[in-house]
Amino acid sequence: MKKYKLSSLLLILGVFILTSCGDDFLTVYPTESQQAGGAATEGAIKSNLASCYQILLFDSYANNNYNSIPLMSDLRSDDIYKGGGDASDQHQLYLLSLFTSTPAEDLDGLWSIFYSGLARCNNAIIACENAVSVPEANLNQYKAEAHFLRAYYMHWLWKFWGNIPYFEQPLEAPYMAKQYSANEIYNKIIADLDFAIADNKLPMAVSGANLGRVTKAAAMMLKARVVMYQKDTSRYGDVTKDMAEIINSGKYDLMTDFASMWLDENEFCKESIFESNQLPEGKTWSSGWSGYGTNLPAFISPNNLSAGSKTGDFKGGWGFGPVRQAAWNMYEDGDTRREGSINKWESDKYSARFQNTGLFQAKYAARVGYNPQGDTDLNYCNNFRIFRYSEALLNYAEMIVMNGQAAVGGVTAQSCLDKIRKRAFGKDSSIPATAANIKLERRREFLGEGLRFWDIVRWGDTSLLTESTALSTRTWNDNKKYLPIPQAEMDKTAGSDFALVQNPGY
Amino acid sequence: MELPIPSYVGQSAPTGNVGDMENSGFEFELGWKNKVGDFNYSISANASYLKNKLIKLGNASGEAIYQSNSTAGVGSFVKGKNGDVFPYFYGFHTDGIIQNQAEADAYNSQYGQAAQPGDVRFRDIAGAVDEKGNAIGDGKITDDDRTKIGKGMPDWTYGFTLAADWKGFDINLFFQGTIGNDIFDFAQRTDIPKNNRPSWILGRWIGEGTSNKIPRVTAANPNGNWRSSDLYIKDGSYLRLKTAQFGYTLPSRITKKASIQMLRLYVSAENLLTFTGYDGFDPEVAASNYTNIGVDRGIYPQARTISLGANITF
Repeated sequence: MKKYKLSSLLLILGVFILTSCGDDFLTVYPTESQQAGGAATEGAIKSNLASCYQILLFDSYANNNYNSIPLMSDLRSDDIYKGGGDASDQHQLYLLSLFTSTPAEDLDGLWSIFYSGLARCNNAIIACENAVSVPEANLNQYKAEAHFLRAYYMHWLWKFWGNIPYFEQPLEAPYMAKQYSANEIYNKIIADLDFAIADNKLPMAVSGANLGRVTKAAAMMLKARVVMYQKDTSRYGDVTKDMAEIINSGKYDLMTDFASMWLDENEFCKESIFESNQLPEGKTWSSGWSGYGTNLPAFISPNNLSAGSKTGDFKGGWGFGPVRQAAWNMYEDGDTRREGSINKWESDKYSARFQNTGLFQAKYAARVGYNPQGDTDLNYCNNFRIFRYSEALLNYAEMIVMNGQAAVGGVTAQSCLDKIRKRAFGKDSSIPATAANIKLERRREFLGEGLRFWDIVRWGDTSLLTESTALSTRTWNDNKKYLPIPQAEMDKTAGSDFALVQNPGY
Repeated sequence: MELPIPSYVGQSAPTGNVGDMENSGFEFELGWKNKVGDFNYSISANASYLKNKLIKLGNASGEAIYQSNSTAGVGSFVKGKNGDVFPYFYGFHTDGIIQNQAEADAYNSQYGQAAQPGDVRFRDIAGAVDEKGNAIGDGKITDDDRTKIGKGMPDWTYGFTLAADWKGFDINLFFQGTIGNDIFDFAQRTDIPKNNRPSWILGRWIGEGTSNKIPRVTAANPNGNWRSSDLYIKDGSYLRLKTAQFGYTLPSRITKKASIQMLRLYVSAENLLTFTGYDGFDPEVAASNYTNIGVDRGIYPQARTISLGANITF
């Protein structure tokens, strides 16, 4: 009996020892999120990437501030006024439109969300570097997406503030980062974009369940914007080739009806290269850091508008961003872009507010049925169309005509301009592809989309911005290209090794 | 507190033991109990005095803004700074309302403003200081002219209880109050042309000599009349009869017949009387966190409650 028991005990022990599991078998990686700096599965990388995309949804109520990107860009242009209740309603936006922003009254919301974007993209890139069991093609795509999003968020910080802090690793105590000059930040942005574009890591276009994800075309469009704004002539050749590639890819085309492009059913249409994918839910007044809706439509629609009540009819909002009469006048009769970009309302249909002109932005205007639930002013479903195919056409024309580049891939500047004009008028309406016409068509095409101010600055036409009228008196000087670094950030870093240096002129 | 790290770190700030604060004061409680024949009474009172000073905020500049609102053009209005009470209300000092065009022209030419009669005259205190230490100013009205204009924490918090009973009747009164706290009256939206406003707005400036405290109501508001200033600061001291109870216990020889050991009927009231100079809803302003102490955003006031009840012991 004893002998039997002993040998069976030894047998059992032997079985255990011989088949004991190695470390690998016992190590399990979390599927949804990784330990900070630890190994990341595909699920963890996707979670990180989703947090990067999320920042695209926040600008209209950025950290509980009304800082919608197209509006913040256009306020300094010659297309719109601030509007709203009075001069002190969103006073920091009034100062922005008059080129008198101060460090204490600044676009703090954008600063917060885009730096959060930087931190999240850094984490996503680090997660990709620590990837475990992720197929190579997928991993490359995730890396390219994270680099693009980092470049996208940084490029807004770079455009608005110029000389800004930057970091690629999570900050350790004392939680401060070195401030770089605008040119150094430009180089970082270009490095990220070159990585995203190279080697076909990203598809040229997406469809179906992947709508809203970064594409190679989006990366090329962002690179074009950044290179043209920096006036980096050494990269003009690349940009021209990129635009030709998008044009010749056959994946994108102009929509025939300009006005219908802005309806909900035409989100992610064939003209759209990259959009922020807003959904009509989730945002609350207390937290701009959650939710999917946008506030921009409520912000720019006329106050107390009584139009229609069918789904898609325009409805009222807070009356900011009225369009200037000169912007209406720049269109020729028959140009569908005029009614597609600007709504003209009779004075008995709405309540006039500050700087009223009777003209309001139409592309992102509030419509019935677009915000069915929750805190309705914050939860409109209108996607922000970040890049459109028509910009690729106009970029190409500008490169050839204004920047002396050689035509590529059989595409001519004239044909690009003709396509834009034909879509606008519904029939052929060609004008010569001169610098002045290309600039004018670009302004007509993109009213209310946040391109005009940056175009004026890079063309050097800033004398257009100085004015002295009843509704707006302001003077441009070159220091106004950059906004002041927010005072709270200056205070928090003052006296340390990483003290921020304020932008010149503030 | 949250570490005051820059917002560009991109993450929410960790909480840490930052900075140093000094609180000093004293509190006392007194009680007295006595009886005169069948009449028993007691009085007890307590008071506490608090002096608060922030020694070190924990960041390099020693100051930080805690509340700020751009919607109504108010700007920053709660601030903390080394060496001062933490936090305090922050805004402009004002020198009354401009009454006529001559005063408006003088103010505009001195400070480069665009004020009209009925607008607030802000005081310029930034810049040079004369030999007596009074501010001469730098000739412009800017954010540098904002300064400490009040604080939300009271100096004194006190309460007293009066209780008495006589032949089955009993009364109990509890008073509570504060002295020395200011309230930042932020209970109206000043930017929306048509909205509900508190009734004191009817006393606004509508012509020369009509008011020297409340500016004119205007939609254009070129002078930024509603920037954070001492016009928002009101005295929040109050004394409140917090609970009052008056009851009568039926004599036990009567109630024993119904096999009830004790039957007491009472009337009680909460927030029965409030003595305060504050013209808002409720001087006892609820604060969601330490940076909101004393900021009245028009929160729904406490109700006066009167109830009847009975204590029955079988």
